Amino acid sequence: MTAMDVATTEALADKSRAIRRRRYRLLSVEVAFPVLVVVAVGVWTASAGLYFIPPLTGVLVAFQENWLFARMASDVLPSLSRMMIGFIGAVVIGVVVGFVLGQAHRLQAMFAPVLEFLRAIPAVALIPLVIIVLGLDDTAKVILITFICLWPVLLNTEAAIRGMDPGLRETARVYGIHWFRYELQVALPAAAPQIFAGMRTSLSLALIMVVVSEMMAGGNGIGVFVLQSQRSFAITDMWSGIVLIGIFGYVFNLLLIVVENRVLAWHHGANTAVE
Amino acid sequence: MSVAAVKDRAPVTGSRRKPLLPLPTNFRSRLIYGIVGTLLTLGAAQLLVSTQIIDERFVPLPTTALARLLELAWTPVFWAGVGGTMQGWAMGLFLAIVIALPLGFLIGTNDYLFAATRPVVEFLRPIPSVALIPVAILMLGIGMESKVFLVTLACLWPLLIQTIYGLRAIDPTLTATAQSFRIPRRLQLRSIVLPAILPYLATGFRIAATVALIVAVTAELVIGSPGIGGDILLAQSSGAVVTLYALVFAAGLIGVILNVLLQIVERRLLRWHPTYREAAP
Repeated sequence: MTAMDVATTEALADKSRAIRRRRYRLLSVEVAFPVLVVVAVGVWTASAGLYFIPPLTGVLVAFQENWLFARMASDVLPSLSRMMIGFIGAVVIGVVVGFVLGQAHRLQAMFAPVLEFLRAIPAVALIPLVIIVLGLDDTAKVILITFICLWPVLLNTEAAIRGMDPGLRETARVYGIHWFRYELQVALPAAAPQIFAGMRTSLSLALIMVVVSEMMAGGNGIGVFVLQSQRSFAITDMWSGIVLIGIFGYVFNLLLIVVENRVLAWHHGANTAVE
Repeated sequence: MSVAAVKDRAPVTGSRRKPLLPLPTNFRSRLIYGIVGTLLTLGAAQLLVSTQIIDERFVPLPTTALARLLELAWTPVFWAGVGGTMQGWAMGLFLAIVIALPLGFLIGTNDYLFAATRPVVEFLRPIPSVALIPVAILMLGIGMESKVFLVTLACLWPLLIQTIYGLRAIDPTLTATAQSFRIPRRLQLRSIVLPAILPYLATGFRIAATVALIVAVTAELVIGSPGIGGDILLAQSSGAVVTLYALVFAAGLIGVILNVLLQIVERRLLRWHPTYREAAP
């Protein structure tokens, strides 16, 4: 081994050590900063003495009192079940209609303007309509959530089916694959990544709609609880509800990403170069 | 990619018989198909209501609702409502841009800041801004301030995230090349950074602009502040069903117009970008 080689190996080792050190620094910053933020918020809210922004510790106590698990059955479960039923209904309808419109070009061309219009209505504006037509009960809220969550799934499915490689369809035809098997085993996997993208948008919409519809139509649920707390100036209770909604938003997003990675593992694996 | 873009390709048909209707391949035939479909939908609704299958107390005839909308379009009250909504939309969007772009630039160009803020942003982003409506009412009242606050908050995340990821997705070879040629920073900014992040910013802006309209109307509906959402709430509580439908229809039209405008602007701005070059009709 010449002196030159030794020098290069040492330089390389130095470099990799520097990279590793840098990675540790980045990681520690990534862990430390959020902790710092939480502590700062705690200290600030405790010392600021603002009426509308109560101490964080108080909010956490209220959170524990309200949601673990006193109001679980009366408010949380109704909200969540409405949300999930509406969401699942939207996914089923959206995928089926998306499949049809993605392959029936004439039908798609005919109803594209109508769909674009329905999609463009600010979802919440429909709440008063639905209240008039269907009343204030659970069915109304679920239908509302379904209607709103429908569009991202439907339009994404349709675009995915339409954009599919025509070779897939032709190959399936040549091999005489039954149309139902083709849809299920060829078209569905091919469209899955885009369907999931639509589902992610829909799920966050579902949470928003369940909260807003409860705020406007009343009954029970997290949205009602938050608004009632605000009206009765139960500020810490109100914040505990907001924290819960925030946690739900975060958890649902995470959950869908986990499911997506599971279901689409083959896709991500096959397209690592693309991603 | 635009949803409306259809790839022209030969249809795979098993049978050789002539199709009943030509396939919608160009813009003109799509337009004709679209008009037919819209008329069919309206006609079906008209038929269902006029034959009493759907109760007219709940769903008015489409023609009645459209006529009411035309009537409303001549009243200053209607336009004041639209103006109120659009004012909240524009102010919130503007504030979000002013906050998100510099912040995103800082975070996107600094690895340490990116690592530090990523968990915080990822945690705050999925929180629906409507959850904060009660807080906004308490702290900012029921007027324009609350609306602008909620719109800004909702628009912040897509803009911030698109800026950060756009900056981080710049090809390192480009920046390394620019550095070794000692290209001045300002020129780098204009000829490398800007073209690289513009598609990301356009996406962020499109998402933010749509979200802004939804949140503005939501805030009005829940809070009851002036705007088209407030008008809808008023029509509902006074039982003016026809006006209610006309207003919801108007809200949908605003949404459609916004979408079309955004598409035009995006296409103009990103004419040079490969996706848009290919998609051009």
